[in-house]
Amino acid sequence: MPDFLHYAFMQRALVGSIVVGTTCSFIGVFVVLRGMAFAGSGLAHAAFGGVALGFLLAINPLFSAIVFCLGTAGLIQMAGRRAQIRMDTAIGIFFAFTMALGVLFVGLMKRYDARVYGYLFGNVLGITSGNLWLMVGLAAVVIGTITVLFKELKFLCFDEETAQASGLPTGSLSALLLVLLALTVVLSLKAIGIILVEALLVIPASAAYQLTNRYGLMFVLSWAFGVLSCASGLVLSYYMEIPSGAAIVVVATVLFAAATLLSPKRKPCKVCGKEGA
Amino acid sequence: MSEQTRAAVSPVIDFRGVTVSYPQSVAVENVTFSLGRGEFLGVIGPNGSGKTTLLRAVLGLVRPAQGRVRVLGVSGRELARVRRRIGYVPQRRPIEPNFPISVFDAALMGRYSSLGVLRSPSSGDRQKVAAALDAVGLTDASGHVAGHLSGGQQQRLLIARALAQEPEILLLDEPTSAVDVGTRATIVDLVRRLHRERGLTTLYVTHDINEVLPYLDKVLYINTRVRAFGTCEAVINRTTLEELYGGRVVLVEDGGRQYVVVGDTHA
Amino acid sequence: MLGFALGLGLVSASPVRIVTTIPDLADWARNVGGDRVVVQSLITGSESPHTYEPGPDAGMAIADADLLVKVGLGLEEWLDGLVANAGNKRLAIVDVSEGVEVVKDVEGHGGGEAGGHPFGNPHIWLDPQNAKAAADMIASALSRIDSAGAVVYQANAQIYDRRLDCLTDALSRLVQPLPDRRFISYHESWPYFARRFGFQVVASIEPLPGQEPSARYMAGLVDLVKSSRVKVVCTEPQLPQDVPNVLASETGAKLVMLSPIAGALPGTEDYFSLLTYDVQHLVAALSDGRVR
Repeated sequence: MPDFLHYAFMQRALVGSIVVGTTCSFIGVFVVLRGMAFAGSGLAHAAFGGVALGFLLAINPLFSAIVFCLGTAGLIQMAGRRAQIRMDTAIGIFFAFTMALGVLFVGLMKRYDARVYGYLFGNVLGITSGNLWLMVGLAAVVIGTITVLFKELKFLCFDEETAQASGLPTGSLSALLLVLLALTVVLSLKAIGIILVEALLVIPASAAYQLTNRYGLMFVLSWAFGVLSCASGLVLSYYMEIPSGAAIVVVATVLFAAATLLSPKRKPCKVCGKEGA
Repeated sequence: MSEQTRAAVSPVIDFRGVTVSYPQSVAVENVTFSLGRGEFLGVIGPNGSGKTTLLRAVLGLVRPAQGRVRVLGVSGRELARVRRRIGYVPQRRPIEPNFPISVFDAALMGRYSSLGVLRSPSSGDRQKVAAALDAVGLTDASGHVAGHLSGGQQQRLLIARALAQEPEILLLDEPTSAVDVGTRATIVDLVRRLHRERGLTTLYVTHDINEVLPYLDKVLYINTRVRAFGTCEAVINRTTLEELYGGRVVLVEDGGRQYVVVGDTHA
Repeated sequence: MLGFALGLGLVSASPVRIVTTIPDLADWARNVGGDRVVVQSLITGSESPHTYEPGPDAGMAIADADLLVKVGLGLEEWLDGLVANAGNKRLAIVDVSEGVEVVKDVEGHGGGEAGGHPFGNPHIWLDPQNAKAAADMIASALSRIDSAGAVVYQANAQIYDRRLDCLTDALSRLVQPLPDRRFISYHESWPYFARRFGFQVVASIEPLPGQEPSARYMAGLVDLVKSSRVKVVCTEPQLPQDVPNVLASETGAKLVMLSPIAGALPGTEDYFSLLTYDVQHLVAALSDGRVR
């Protein structure tokens, strides 16, 4: 066993980062196929507001982050539908608003607590056993839901209009995806941090997209890239003494670059001769 | 009245005084028409005349501000329940070329509404999809990436998916508009064949009546309001059409087929 | 009648207003000044003097004060700007680290490098002998401001000095019997405290003052604690608790909370009770602690 795994806190960190890598890579497929990257970014900034609120109220910051993110997801969904504005405008508004709230809450805190900023970049040492159980629980909810609704979500991604016409509750499914995204962001906070979680939502799935035209395989490849990035990023961050979030994203990006260069989609399709996009 | 007659008489689709409006405008106003089981209705109108809204009203995706829509015996909120019995072929938008889905899987989606949430498609479902793809002539392309198909092939894929659903009603929204001229006849022929072989109640939206004229049981001319509705005998005659088009109209016979030819139209 | 008038005159002279940075200095000032002074501390106990951010009330307190008592040695980086802004021309300042024999941090810092303790370890107030010197300085400053009370101030300072000597003896006697007096500190708050009472700080969790340890550094600490069989890790209430918790649970060492500033923990409202609390709790931990 490599020497760093002798420590319980590193074992927890490794399990935690695998859980995060798995969940982000699965939900990341939907983020990429439905163009939800900006929503992921918006929710990450809402998480900052939630974490800051938790410190201000002296409650578990992860719980307040969940409530804040779900609330923001709900508001984004409603604003997009009711206020006749485009989804990305709605997200942009809430992105800025929740970030500003976060800064306000930090300013209101009587006692400066440096841990708030630890949530920005990930702090592997901070993953306690309690945190780990929460992360596993949230991951189970997200992955379980994706599994149960696998074919419905597939239809939603491919052709939302016809899906609705054939009887699928597409409005509810879209909202559900936002909720799952919010939960994924929160469970990833301690391992990766607010600023970089958006990258982990997008990069492994994008790398997978480069390499396959098969829907199911895209999930498998995304998962492989996600877990590989997180585990090796963690090891890298240990030996180089840099924040875990940064190391993980660097590895993920290198894998993405390799996938793009090797991508069969850049060559003409063997069957019909069409060039990939 | 016998059981058969009653069934034949009660309409499958029935609109009474239906008005649907959006915040900025009225899409359709005071629309009344009905369609019996197995009938083929052509919905004719120019762009922006509310044809698509009509189809969405059949599916219950929009609710009328006034009037009542009745489909397969239900109306109002209940329409959502019968959606799985209606095969919807939307106006084709190009599929993203590299979206990771095969032709077979795209057609398979037509079976989802009859499966529950936790069930996976069975081999029976797959056979039905294979049959649907065969009916539209896409069997050879089954393994292709759906986004790599040509325009005409993609249109046929949409039809196959609707067929896989095993619907009682087929709704088609301008199925030849995004397809090149040479392929159009193939599509129309396909629809006609399916209608006849499966007895599907068919609602075909187009802006060109000549495309489907020989196959129609009824025709509905619409431009926000109903301009004309009835059987072909009732509507397709020179008098009615000249009133409709506001100009000279000639009915031409060629090779056993009738064509509506419109002359000068005055504003 | 005259005595009464004199008495009235003495009491009705307005008290000297003293502002200090930390509560421990405020306690010293009260003991020296008695009821001739009114003392206020900017920090109440739950803030760390390194990261404290003064609000407008701090500026106002300084603007109204006659005397400011500070620790110096770079501890209160935020103070100079505050004093300059307050524009109080008559303000006298006492720097209690003047003349103190300064030590470096356990980890060897304090030689001018960036971050943390560039001028040497500033936590000098935790050695009662330094408190004696500070009391004398405060008495002198007060005598200059309020010459009528000079006699009182000198007398109070001497009494306080003797009490501090007694305290030092009593607390040192508690520590003497312990065979093992080693502990890991969180922040480098304890060099003067340890030297005076006979403890030994083996290492500090923060690699640099104010910096959280990396995972690898923490692994090194875990190895050190286990191999040297150190029994106690101490943490402080003004700092986040995650990191010391990890070290303690990983090594099985006993975790004890000590405060370097009065007023943070119940039972530590003044200087004497703070030192007593810290020594007693540390001794208790060193007596029971067992390493896995």
